[in-house]
Amino acid sequence: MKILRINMSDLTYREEEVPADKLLLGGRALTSRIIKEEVPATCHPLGPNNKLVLSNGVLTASMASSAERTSLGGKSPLTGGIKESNAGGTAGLKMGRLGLRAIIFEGIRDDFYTVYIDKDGVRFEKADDLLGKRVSESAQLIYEKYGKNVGLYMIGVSGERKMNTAAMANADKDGSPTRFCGRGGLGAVAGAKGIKAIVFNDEGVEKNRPKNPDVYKEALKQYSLSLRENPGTGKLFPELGTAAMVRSTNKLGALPTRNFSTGSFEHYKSISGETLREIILERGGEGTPTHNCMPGCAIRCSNIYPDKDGKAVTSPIEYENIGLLGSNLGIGDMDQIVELNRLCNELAVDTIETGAAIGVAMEAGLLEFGDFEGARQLLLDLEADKPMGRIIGGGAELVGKIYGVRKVPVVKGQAMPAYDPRSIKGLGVTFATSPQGADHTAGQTVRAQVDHHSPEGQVKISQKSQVVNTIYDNLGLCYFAAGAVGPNLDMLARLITGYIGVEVTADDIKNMAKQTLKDEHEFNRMAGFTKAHDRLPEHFYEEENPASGTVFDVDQEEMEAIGVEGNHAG
Amino acid sequence: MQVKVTCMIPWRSELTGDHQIPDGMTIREFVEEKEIAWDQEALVTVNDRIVQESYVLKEGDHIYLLVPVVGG
Repeated sequence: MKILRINMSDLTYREEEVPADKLLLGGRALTSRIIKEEVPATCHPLGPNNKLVLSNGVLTASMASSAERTSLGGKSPLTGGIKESNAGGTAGLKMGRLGLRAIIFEGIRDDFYTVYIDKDGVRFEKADDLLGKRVSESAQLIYEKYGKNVGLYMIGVSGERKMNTAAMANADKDGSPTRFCGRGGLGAVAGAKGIKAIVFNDEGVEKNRPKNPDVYKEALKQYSLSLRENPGTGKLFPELGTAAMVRSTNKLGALPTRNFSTGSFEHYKSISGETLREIILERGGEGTPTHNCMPGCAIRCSNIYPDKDGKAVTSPIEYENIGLLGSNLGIGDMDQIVELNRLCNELAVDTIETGAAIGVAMEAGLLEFGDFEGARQLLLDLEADKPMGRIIGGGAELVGKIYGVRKVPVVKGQAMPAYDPRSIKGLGVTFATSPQGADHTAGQTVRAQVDHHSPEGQVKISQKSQVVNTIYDNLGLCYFAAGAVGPNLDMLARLITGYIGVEVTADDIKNMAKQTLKDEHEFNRMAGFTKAHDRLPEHFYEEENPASGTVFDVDQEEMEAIGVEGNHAG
Repeated sequence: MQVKVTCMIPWRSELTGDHQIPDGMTIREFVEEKEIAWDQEALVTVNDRIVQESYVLKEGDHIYLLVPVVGG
């Protein structure tokens, strides 16, 4: 396994071997370790001292189910702190086959290049023909030029313009560039480095084989069985996708509605997973309610949404997008939500941040809640590089500052995903204390059978979940598998041992995750974060969520003990 | 004693409706009697609050069996 170091200023590269004792450093563990060790925490995120790190998880490219995720890391222009954002798709698989654990991008430049990587090395090709276009069009040009079997990462117009909402796209198994490392504006960091696209061609490369096939095969058998037998991963995700959450969070008073002003939405049924499935099945054609973004994924939570003529509109329609682009905007029509989602994908902007930004614009009275046409126009303004588009592309906090809105659902500058923290208080703790800013995948607690409305015990649950989520981020595994794997990590330890050929224990995996959190908090401390940043916006403490009848009231000192100054992650 | 159930688990929708139960039955006993694995196959609320397994059901309680997944 190698680490590839690319300097975008002078377009040079060199390869470094991953030492055997670092083989357990993958995904978020590796991006965060490199950022902590090599990036001055006080640097400008878009400047020459920031680095952009792409890292496969330890199991990425092993072909174990749901294990093809890749992490993207750097100092975030949105939060000003350390950032990791990961996605499924196919690029990680191709990158892994080329023998690469990670790529470190250094330097900056004003023009744009495609970084082409195959078994013979790296080529830098001017990317002028890809600029200013929608992501699907640029991807098509890449496939025409390099072949349809290549893996790719690319930014959209948002990244070219270095917007805080800019994401990086990669393609699903059908070549559709609709999987995003969405959070934290890392697409802008890529843009600052002049990276328009990264193309992986694994032609002529043998597929990866486990170093200890007997151990690997036995562990894989158990792992695959647990995914099949668990009701969530075996039945619910394939049938309803993550949108199955809509009715649950609405019931718990946690579905963000009209800029997080309440937690239940009168049109929740029309934006539920059940309705989504009905529409897709009724329209048929290219649509499907069950789809895997990564080859061989058994969970298959993705879907392809068709229009009335059965032609694919976009993929996937997920819970977070329905929450932020739907109920959060007062929009209860599935076709309208899908259209906003499609535009976000085409512009490669984070759907969560963009939905929250439009919600704040609605709160400011720039447009009415429920105004689909107005929301759509804002995205078209973003594409056309109009001032209003620049404002929305700056993210929710910026919109709030420009228009004098105090109710802005962000922590450390990053928008909350689709859970009102007054109703799922463990997630509120995660939003407040995670080094990543408000992020449900940094410590998801909604699945726990606990009273989410009570402040008691939430810090402990969040702390545990933050470690669990980090484990999955480090391994390149989708965290949806966590429900099936359960608390016993021995199965994962054997899977890794079989794949990399180095003895790994459950404790090793857990300790690595705890160390990752410590690394991230340390970077943030050096960047100037204090316990004052480990808080939710003021109004969540003072104004009741009418749907749940609760405010956020978890003990602040208890939260700070696991935050940037406490850092007792574990 | 009667309790009401709303089941959101697609393949167990027949559970939606009124159920007669004995006095002193806990929510976990009720859920397991219906062959749903506790803390595995459902998130369980009673009267809109997620409850502990030891919660003793009362006349008129409204049980929701929510889907056990997370958002992505």
